[in-house]
Amino acid sequence: MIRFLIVTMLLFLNVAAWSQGKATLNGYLKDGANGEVLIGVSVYIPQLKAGTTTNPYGFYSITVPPGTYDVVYSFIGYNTQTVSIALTGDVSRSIEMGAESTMMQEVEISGERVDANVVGIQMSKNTLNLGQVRKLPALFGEVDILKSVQMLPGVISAGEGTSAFFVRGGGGDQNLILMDEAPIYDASHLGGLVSVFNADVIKDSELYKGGIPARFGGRLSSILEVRTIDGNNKNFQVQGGLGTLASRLSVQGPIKQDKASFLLSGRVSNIGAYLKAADVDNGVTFYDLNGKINLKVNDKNRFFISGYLGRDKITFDDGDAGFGWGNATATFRWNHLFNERLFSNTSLIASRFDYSLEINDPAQGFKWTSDLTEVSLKNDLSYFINTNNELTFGYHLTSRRFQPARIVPSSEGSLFKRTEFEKMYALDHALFISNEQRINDQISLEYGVRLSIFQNVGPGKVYWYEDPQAADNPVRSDSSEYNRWETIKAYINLEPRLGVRYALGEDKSIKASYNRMVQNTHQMAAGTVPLPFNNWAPSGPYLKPQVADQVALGYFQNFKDNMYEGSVEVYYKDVNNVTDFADNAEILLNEDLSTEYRQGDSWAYGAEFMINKKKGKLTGMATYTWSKVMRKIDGVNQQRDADGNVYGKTYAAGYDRRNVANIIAAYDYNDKWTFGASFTYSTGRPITLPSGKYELDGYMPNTISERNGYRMPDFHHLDLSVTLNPRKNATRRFKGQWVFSVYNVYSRKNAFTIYTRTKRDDDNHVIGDGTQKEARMIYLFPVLPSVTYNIKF
Amino acid sequence: MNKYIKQTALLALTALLVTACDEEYKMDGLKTQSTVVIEGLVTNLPTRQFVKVSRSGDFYASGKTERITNATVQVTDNAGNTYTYVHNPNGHADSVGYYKPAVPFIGQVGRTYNLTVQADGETYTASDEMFHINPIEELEFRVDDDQVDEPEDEDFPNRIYEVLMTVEEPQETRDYYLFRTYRNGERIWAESSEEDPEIYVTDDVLVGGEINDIAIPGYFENGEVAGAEIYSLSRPVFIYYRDLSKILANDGGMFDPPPANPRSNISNNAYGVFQASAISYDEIRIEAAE
Repeated sequence: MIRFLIVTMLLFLNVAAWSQGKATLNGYLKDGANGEVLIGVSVYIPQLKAGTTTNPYGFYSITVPPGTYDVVYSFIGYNTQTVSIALTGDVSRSIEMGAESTMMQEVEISGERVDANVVGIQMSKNTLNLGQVRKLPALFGEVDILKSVQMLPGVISAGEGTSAFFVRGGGGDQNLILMDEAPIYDASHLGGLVSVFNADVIKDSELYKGGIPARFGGRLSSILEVRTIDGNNKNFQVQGGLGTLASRLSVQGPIKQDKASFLLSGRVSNIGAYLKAADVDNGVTFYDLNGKINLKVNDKNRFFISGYLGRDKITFDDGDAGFGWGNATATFRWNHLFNERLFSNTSLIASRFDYSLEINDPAQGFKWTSDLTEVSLKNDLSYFINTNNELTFGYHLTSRRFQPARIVPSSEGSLFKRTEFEKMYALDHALFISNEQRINDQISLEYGVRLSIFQNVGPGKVYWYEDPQAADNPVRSDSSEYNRWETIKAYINLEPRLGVRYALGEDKSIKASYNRMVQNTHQMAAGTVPLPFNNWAPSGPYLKPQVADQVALGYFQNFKDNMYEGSVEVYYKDVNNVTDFADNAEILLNEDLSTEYRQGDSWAYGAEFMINKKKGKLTGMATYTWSKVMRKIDGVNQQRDADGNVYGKTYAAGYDRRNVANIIAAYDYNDKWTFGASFTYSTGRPITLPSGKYELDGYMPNTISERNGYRMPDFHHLDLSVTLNPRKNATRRFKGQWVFSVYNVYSRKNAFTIYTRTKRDDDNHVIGDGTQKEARMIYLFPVLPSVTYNIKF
Repeated sequence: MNKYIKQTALLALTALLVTACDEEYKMDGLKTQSTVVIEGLVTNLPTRQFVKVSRSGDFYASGKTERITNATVQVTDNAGNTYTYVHNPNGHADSVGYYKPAVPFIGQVGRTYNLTVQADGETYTASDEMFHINPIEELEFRVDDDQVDEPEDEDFPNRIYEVLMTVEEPQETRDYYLFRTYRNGERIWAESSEEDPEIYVTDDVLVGGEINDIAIPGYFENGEVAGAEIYSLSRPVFIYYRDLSKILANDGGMFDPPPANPRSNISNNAYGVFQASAISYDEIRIEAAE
């Protein structure tokens, strides 16, 4: 590790020496109307055919031979600015960009350079167009970026009404979801009806599916990076909305003009009120709070503090039983400019996810809580060496504490006793370095490596078993006690990352990438869709790190002056130590849970086609994905061969959907009316259904022949929406907006799941002698209209 | 508790959503395979010993599954006894497929019993140990207010009494229990007629090493006789029942683990279980003070 650091430093110093006698232009790019920094703005010097883009903090730096240049700043949705700058020495120039459109609709502050699809090295990445997302129909009218993520090529959803998503054959726990750099462990409200992301405060969102840069790690399949807005530092602004599911209000404004701003936003569910009105004795609430303070001390130092707090609470039978879960995050960031070319971001991040389950009963009452807390320190540096090289490197340290279960009896007489499961601790270090290098006009490379050093540490007690995976009876044989910070188990992995772009002309390119990803935090989800109650666990004596290798190849072409973006990508992903539970695993309240883990192989491949129209009155995207994902794990899907030996048979993962096609479109008819449409089709997901039944005592259990051996019916629905911006908006400060949407227009009965039971009539009475069984399909949403009213002033 | 956990997920999505519905779904292309099913019980009570041999059948078939009446069934124990079983010795129509010991016997706590069944030219074997059970110390009844407010079974609004059981739980051993309850001698299969039969099985860890005033499954009305039976189980048989209860309550793998066949203690891929249990029984008549 020391050597690695020295090499890094040497490289760094050498490079600095090479670039003597040059001048550096740097600065920040901001939206002229509200002071939000702009991410991914193209900064281009035509005379040199050289350029760069702003980083996630809106900063850019470019080093060129001294001279006077016309510098072109361009960004989707903004007027291109050309500025003549005399670079005799280092120059700092921050630019405020004006929006193209002066319509009442909010200006998009997300995006990327117009031709990023073709010229960027990064492949397998999708940037959500939030402006478009807002115009599209949404379930219950609640704009949700996770539902849009589920529409992207290479992304599969488990079904409607869930926030879970599956990227290129990866499991639901293999996505790292970051909000302002803090990980969100469960992004669902109400089990997934909506996500925790309040669209009013989302500035930018990107999904990395492959060719993942070295600065990211910890999850195998994707990184979903969500950034919240900084807060308007020019004007005070209030925004809100009243929807079917929830109400929203956010306030932002300057603390000190152009220097400091704040954002405070809240969303709370309305459902409880409906339930009360309907005299239902179950209660449901959720809320989200986002806050942020943004402070620019001087040109060299900027600080951000952002926080998120969200919770769900569901109660049954007037509070006899209840559940809650929620995320809390805090991010403190410091952007520091060491010199014109060395930019540093230091973040201190805390994230906590917890759930609780409570049953109030004199004899059997208890409260069960579980949580996961992490604190991390990240230092990322970008060194803008010259127009051909941009070096990023850094160090991340994360400490995690896992509390699987703490059970407290709710009364003296409860049959439950106070129990606390062994806590688990982990330390994660990561060192990374990566260089983005332009070789010539055709070829650009991004190459890097991430060294991940993982330690499962004490304090803790680890039980040892005679045979931890014995079919029915793992017996504890011994135990070991570990002191604080003492290593229980360590895993060291080197993760190479490589990306290549070969330009075939101005508007087309070929890209290839390879990445290795390592995951040391595993979610032990039992079903296809992870629930908040599925515990997370660190790698350790019984769980090895999951490791994924992915190769991807893509062809990218833009048409008609970047009006249309097209891409085709193919990938192959191989995963070792993919984690599942053994057949018949006992998951609840099992102190020997580690004996129920099984690890094995997973492999996935697919092809993704996308055409995206980003400009004009009509915008939209059409995608088609063919993919396959299989798993083979000893102890899972157990079968016996001809000799009676048990083996784990290969099976399709529960989210293996072969064909997925999505079309979304938004049409700005005029200033007043905008129309949206969305259609999705996918092959039914695999499910395990019975092959027969038998009698035992008075029961009639099903016989199972194979895991995921059956497919549910195809899944598809069409949704439409209309957004009305009254004309009077144009002349007044207060702006109102109506959004009408219809979900599942032709009322397709999409199977959510299928279960079996004794055949019963509509009144739930058994038909006949009770020997007959039936399968039932649950579907969630028939045609579903909704109305949302939004305000802004 | 399991039930509540499952409800969260399904609640948020279905129970809560007035829009959610379910309807019958016809599964096609099911690969049905007929497999031997063996169910054997040895107890410490007279006349309760039996072995049932049948076959698994088609999911959509109605009526009882096919019985095997020409099997050879034998039980031995580790004290050197051999018991030969005969098919339906009393010729009851509803006992087809049931085998009884030719010479009645009573199982002994501490012994291990071995079962051998020959059927369809195959041999199936299993063994199980009979563990001790303490007698039920006390049964009490009381009004359950929740049942008064909202009865579990809407068809029987007078079933408002719950019955509490107390049994001494040995602290030095890890013990496993199966509960069955009776209403006027009739087995209670579920707390409500709207639910499919349920299994009530536990180990002593979950109950904190005590069985004090635990409500037995089912609710009763005034005048009824509530019967409670508690069976000792070995760990493999406990695991079998726990697995069985999982597959009976499975939601199709959306939130539950995908269903799997229970881990059986019977060899050669037969379905079913061979169980040696000591049984304690007690009953109480619900006589409410007017």
